[in-house]
Amino acid sequence: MTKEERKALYSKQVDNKKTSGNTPHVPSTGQQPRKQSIKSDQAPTPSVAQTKNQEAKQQPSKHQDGKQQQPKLQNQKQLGQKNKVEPTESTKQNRLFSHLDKYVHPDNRINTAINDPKLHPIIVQLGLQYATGAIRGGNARTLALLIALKQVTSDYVQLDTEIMNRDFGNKIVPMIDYLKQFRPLSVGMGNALRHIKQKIFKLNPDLSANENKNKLVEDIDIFIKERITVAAEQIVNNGVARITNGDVIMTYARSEVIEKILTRAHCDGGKRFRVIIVDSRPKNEGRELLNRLLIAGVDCTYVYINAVSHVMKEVTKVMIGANSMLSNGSVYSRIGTAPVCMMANSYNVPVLVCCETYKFSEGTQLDSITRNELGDPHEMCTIERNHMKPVLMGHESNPNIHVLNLTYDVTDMQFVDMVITEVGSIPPTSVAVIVREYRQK
Amino acid sequence: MDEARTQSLELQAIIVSDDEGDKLSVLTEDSPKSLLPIANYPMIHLPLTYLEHNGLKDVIIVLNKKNSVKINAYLKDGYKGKLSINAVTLEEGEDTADAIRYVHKYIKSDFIVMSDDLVIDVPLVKLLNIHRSHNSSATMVINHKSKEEGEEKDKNVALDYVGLVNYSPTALERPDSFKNPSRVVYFSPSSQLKKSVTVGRSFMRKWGNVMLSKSFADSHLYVFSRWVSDLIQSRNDFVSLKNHVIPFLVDSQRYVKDKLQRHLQDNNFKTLTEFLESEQEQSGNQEYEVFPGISAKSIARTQQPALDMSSSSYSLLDLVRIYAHVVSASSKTSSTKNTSEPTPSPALIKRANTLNNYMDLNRELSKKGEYKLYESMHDQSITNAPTPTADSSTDKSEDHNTPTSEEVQIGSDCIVGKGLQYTGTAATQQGSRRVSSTLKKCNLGHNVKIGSNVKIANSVVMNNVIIGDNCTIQNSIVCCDVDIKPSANLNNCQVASGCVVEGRDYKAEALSNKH
Repeated sequence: MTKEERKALYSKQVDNKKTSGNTPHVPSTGQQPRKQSIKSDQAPTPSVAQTKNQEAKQQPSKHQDGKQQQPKLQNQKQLGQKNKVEPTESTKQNRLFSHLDKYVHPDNRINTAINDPKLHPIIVQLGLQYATGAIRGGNARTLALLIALKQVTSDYVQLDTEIMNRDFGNKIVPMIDYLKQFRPLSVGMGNALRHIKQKIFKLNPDLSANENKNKLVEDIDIFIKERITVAAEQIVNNGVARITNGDVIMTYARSEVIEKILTRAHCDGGKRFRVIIVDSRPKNEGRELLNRLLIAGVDCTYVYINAVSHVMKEVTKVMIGANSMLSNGSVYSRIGTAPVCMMANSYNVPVLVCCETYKFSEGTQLDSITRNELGDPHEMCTIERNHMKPVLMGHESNPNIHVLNLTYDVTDMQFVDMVITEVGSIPPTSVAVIVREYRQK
Repeated sequence: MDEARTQSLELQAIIVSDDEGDKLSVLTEDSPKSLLPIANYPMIHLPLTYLEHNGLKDVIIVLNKKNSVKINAYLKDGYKGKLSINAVTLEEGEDTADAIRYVHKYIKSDFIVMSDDLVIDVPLVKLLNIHRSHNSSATMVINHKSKEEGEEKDKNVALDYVGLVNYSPTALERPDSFKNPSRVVYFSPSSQLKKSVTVGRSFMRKWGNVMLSKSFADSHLYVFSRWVSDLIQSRNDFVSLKNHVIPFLVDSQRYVKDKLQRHLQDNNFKTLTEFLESEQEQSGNQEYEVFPGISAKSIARTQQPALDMSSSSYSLLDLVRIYAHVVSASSKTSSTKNTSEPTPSPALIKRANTLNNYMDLNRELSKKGEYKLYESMHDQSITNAPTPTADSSTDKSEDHNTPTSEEVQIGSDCIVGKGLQYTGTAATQQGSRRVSSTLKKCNLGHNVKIGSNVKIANSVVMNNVIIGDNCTIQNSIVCCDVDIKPSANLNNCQVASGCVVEGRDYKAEALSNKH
């Protein structure tokens, strides 16, 4: 681009900023516009779908140089002038994360209806419990989902026109859609649901409804027992065996399995060790872990993630939990895990991941951007004390501030030394093998 | 309700009648309080509209023996909404808790209890979100009155004392305020007329930072958990919801958790889930009872195992929780809001149980376009509310006598029923000039006859009233079938049904025809 072209472009951007209020396009290289068209193909939210699609349609017809930025800018300018909407949370876009589902406040969701015939009351309550964080953590959410499904099954009344193995699955679909509105399903929940749906399909249509219902409830119970409860037991035993006297164990945020390992090692295993809990805003989940470990009598230190590099020199092991394990050996876990693991790696501290096999995923992910979950931006804006006004109050209408609350991140395989599962302690490269084995079952 | 419906029944609605003394005196001589008109609709229509608007499909109304015939008649003939109503007449007992006990067999899920004179605007979803997400035993709506409203005309009316924990006006403005709702820790209803509040040391130790105020008004809209109906069933001494049940529940928050915690510690259980599972295994033994007759199992939710995993186990032992959705009356709060954003109008929460409130409600609901929920009420052509007296004289409702604006000047915020007739004589004392009658800020029922030079301001006039010439009616309520002789001046009066009002001055009188 020549200097004049650049000047013209820059002045156009400044004008554009004033009229439309959106973040201006940064003309880096020609590659970016193409990337955008790919991203915009991935189901963008409907309000911006039109603008994105329009841009995507315009791009292939132009050459790949900076000049094609201008028709886009013009388009935006026209849009800005036409609509003249104040930038609210739903219209602003952070370019990099625009493909992720935006966070919608529970009040604004559809289907918070009362006595909706398609939703069982326990599902309605479950959705809200997910939204408020009353039930959080991979195991808890999956367990809650399965308990709710058990209740739905027990209360299911089979009409004469229906056959359970076909219709019950259909009945569950709107309920799951309802739950998805509040928080996207985790990998473990998806696997559990798939398993249950298979069982529903295999129900014998010749048996009576009651017998089928009992069988299904039993199947759900078996899944819970085998792949969650007993699996956790195995992992705990394995994990306890790996803790030696004098260990300094670091853990990040709160994993239910890690909590069990640490309490068991201290109370029953009689081992002498201490724990460093690393925590971060906005969820502060480490506090709950701290609470429980202190009640159990474990020697704990509590730091925020900014102190990780300082405390890492005393640490002998890092043990973390995971939301899911990906087929390329990466760990998909609470945001902040990746820096902790990378720091451990640079200090040559071994990193152990404890994860049940029902959370293993067939997908792969190289970065934390392609698939993630956006949380409530208001969580980021508030400080503890209630009487203080949120620091970033009014950020929705300010076009220059975009609050991003990511929930998960991906830790690459090279930073993970061992994965402890109920089938044994495996290197991260073997995750794909396990996934394959379970698929064949 | 068929079986399939009961599966997805999350919330049932019950409307009760609250007999808080007869503050509406002469107005209720002939007609039950629930049928007194507000903006020309019977009072009971309003809670029904609210429930219908919020998505409920059936409702149970509990009626007192003396009113049940008339109200049943209205529900069968006059009610045009879409709710399916199950009207139950209370055989024994009079008050709200007795009503709940009477319909105990119908209650299969969490239920919402409304007073039949409550006019409210708050979306039910907000209340429900708190109730669902926090496992609360009871959720209520607390109206935080600002100072200007508090210093009202009813200075001699006793107010409730309510203590809230975790209340902060700034937090309420946040859209996710239901994640952190206020909890009610002290509740002393107005009927108990306490002059001072005494709390024990354990109360302060447990709750710490409490905001206790008279400006928190309870609005008699409650969402209860299913087990509360069992509790009311087991306690025959509970007569009134507001005076007995709610204070009992609020107070029990103090000791239930400690008792349960001690019980778990004594028996070496770490979490509530373990305890409940062990109870299940030893099926022969008696279940641990939180209150006599209410087992811990019935209070704890099905999701207990998942909840135990996620939150601190000791907060889960807090089985009884009473939360409040606090509605702030003042709307002109933070100055940092953009002026382009419309300031929300203050929520409408009022009970039509005093004369002032009744008048206020008539005024508020006649303002067109103000309250979306009650918009349908402005379409007066739909219904013809039947009069409480036997004959609804149809020969009076002839439209060809509709008065012109020369004869009767009707103000913009008046509601006038059908069949208004102008009976002023052509020749008046001022020679050939007719003096028109004016109506300002008043609600007129059907078939009202107005003479010349009649000034009606700030009043409620019900059906079939004859008003003679030269009358002035201010700040008054005139019931059905009243005959007001010419030159009468009513100021701050209430006239019962069927009275004949002489043509003289009346000030602040309640005219009854039952001498």
